[in-house]
Amino acid sequence: MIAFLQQVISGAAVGIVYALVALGFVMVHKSTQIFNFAQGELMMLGAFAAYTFIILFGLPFWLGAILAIASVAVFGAVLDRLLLRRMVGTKPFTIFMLTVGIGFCIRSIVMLVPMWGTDTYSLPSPLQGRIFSFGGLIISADHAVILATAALVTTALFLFFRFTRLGLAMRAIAQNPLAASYLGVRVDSLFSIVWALSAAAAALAGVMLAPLSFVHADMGQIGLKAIPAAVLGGFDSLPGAIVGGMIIGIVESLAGFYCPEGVKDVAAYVVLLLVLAVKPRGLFGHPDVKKV
Amino acid sequence: MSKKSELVTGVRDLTLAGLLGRQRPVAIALLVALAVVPCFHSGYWLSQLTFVAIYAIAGFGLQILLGFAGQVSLGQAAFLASGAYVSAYVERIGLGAPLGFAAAIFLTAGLGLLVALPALRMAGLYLAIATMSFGFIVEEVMARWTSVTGGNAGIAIPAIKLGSLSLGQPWQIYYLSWALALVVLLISANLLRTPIGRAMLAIRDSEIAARSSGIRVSRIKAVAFGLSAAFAGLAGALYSHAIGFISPDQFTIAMSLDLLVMILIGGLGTLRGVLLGAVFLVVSPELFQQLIGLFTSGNTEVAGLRPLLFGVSLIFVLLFQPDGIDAMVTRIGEWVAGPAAGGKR
Amino acid sequence: MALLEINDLSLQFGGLKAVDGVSFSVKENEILAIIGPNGAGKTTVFNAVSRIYRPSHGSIRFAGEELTRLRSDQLPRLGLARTFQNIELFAGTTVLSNILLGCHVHRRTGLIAELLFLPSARRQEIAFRAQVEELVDLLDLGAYLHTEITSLPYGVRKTVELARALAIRPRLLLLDEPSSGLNVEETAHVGELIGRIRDSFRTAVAMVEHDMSLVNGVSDRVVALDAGRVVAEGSPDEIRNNDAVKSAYLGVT
Repeated sequence: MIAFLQQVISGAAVGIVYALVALGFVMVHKSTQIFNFAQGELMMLGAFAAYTFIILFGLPFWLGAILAIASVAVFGAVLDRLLLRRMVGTKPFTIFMLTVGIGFCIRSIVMLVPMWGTDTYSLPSPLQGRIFSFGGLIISADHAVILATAALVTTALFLFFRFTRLGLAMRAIAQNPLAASYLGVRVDSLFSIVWALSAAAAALAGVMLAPLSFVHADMGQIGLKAIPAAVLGGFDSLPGAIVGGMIIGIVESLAGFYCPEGVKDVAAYVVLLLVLAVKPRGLFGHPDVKKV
Repeated sequence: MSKKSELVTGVRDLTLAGLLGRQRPVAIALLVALAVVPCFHSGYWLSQLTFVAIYAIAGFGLQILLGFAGQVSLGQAAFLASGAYVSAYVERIGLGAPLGFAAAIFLTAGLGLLVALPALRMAGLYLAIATMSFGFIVEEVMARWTSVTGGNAGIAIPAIKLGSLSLGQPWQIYYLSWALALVVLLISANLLRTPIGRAMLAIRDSEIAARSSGIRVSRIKAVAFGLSAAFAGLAGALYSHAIGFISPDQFTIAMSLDLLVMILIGGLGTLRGVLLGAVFLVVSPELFQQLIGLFTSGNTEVAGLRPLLFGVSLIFVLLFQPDGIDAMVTRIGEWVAGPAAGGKR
Repeated sequence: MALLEINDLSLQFGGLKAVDGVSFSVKENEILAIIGPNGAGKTTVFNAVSRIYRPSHGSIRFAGEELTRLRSDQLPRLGLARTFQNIELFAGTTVLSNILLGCHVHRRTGLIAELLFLPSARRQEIAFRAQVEELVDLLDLGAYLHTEITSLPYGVRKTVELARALAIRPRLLLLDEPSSGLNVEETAHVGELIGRIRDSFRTAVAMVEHDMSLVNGVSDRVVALDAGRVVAEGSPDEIRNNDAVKSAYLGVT
């Protein structure tokens, strides 16, 4: 039983990482109908940025992390302004392929930057090694911080969307950008903010993941596992993304413990296919109704 | 009042010559060039051109599924893996290469039909995600099913044996690959001039209108999946012989993405675009490395150049030339033929 | 014997009864117009007949078959074709390709014959194109044959959709607002076209229409709907003078 709970908790911590990346997927998709295939690469960029600030520049962990998240957020907004803005009105598939291209570029730039390259780096967190123990259950301080941060971030986002004018405006453009713009909402700037927030979420995920799984150019693939998380939660629901991420993380962890070798690596995708087999438009999807 | 003869007998695509149209001289020249390459090159460029043919075959499959029928697939690598491992297995147990290739084609087609079953109800985003997941799962299965696939260590692929004949020479694989590529090209072209291909295009553009014209959408989609998987399986079998060694880490999402990038840069929806895209995919990384090597001293084997090249090219094409290299070639052709043609068609 | 028989058809969207106990029929070779103010349920009836909507009650019989048991892609084979209010064309291909798609129901070749372009497939293609040529001449689309749909003007697109429906060689053609978006001359041309279609192809036509000049000019019979119910049925003259129809349009009781 203890072992089971242990797996659940460490799975939940990894699940938070997926949840944050999934949050980014959903934020962008909800507002712009774009499926950002480069989300995982943004997470990797966040990890590398944190590595640079903390290890290479020697800044304190918390400061480096915040700078990393901020710089990737700016990068996300710049991506929107420079590239994605031009694709307004084109087919979703075309924009999706653009994000594939962006992902390629981000990955290649990381590999080409002399300080980074294709090596694997370790980015230890300041709480490395410390553990909390609750009657037989061992939680590493890293995991505890991840869970706590997630709770904070979720609450902050919830309050933001519910009670601030900016949050309200973002919900408006998600539902009906044209109407929102008629009402005076600056839709363009808001799209950039959505991309910035989404990139920030990915970067935060990267910062949290780095101590656990090291920093390397192929980290983006881990981000792809957030896609099952997003689909599980319903691709247009923010709380759903968090729940979906946790579920995927926990399922993975349990699969690693109880199932034969290799199942853990694809557990997320198996869950996804099972969900889609039953509900081809995601857990909470609506069928496309076209009026003729 | 249109001339009676103009429509029926003048319809271009009912003959092979008509299909090629004004491109006929260029096509013939290219065919001749392809045929004599082995007389001049035997090493690197011969194998590069072999891979152009192999990727073109897989590309025709993806074009049928995505460019014609509008179904997004991020998991084509799984079908190539299936073709490679099936043919390797059949040959290993002594049943010979022709059967190996046939098995690769038909079993992979069956796999494609299996995938089609749930895929019929999915569209766009979810279909892409589902096929991507399928790709990851197949990759893992290949790694774990060691009795058949040899697991992560991979397996060596011996030369093709036809009776006492051994087709292990690079030039033999080259001719085989191109012969098959041309057959696949012809079949794909036949799709476009018959009801089944038109039905696929219809489904891509408007499922409602397709249904109201009597098209059984599920059936046509299934054909698209099966055909695309069959071609990918054939490509996989050829690939294994061209490389001589296969392992699960060759058939990853990277390969699926490469194929996608290939037909997008080449030209979505066109057959010529597949060939152009395959040339781009195989040849440009090498050229790019050489180019960079001119500026950086010596070290040209830099990881990260390939994704940079593909990423930038893809973004460029999508922003400025969404119809791909194919559209550029058409424009060049019109410009060249302009003064001589002296008027429209 | 009626070609299309609609009996007590009802369709509900949530709490709203869009169609409530509608019954009428279309005879062989006749041109029937369905009129009524906006929201009367005219297009909904069409959508029920072409199996895009599922009726909650009632029967639709076409040439002896009960349509409510069939899928929309099974109707063309029975001889039922339709056009759409918002024009549903295949935007990525040429006019010729669009019209050729109407021939799909007449397909006799299998997958292998088509993949290998066997002589049977070639012969079928030639036959199809001859069929299409007849329609192209009738509808004057020769100049646009190899043009992509996206660059065509609205009126031409409507004609292409009509050609595609006719390529099915239907016994009954459902036209959803054939004159919408067209000017007076184009509308008159459409009226003449509908008459010619009925005469040369012996195709019955049922059309949802708002343009009364077209209705009066070419229809044999008119059915008037209001709020999901049939309020009148008869010749164009009878309908023109019918009180129920007048009150439906003008709100005069």
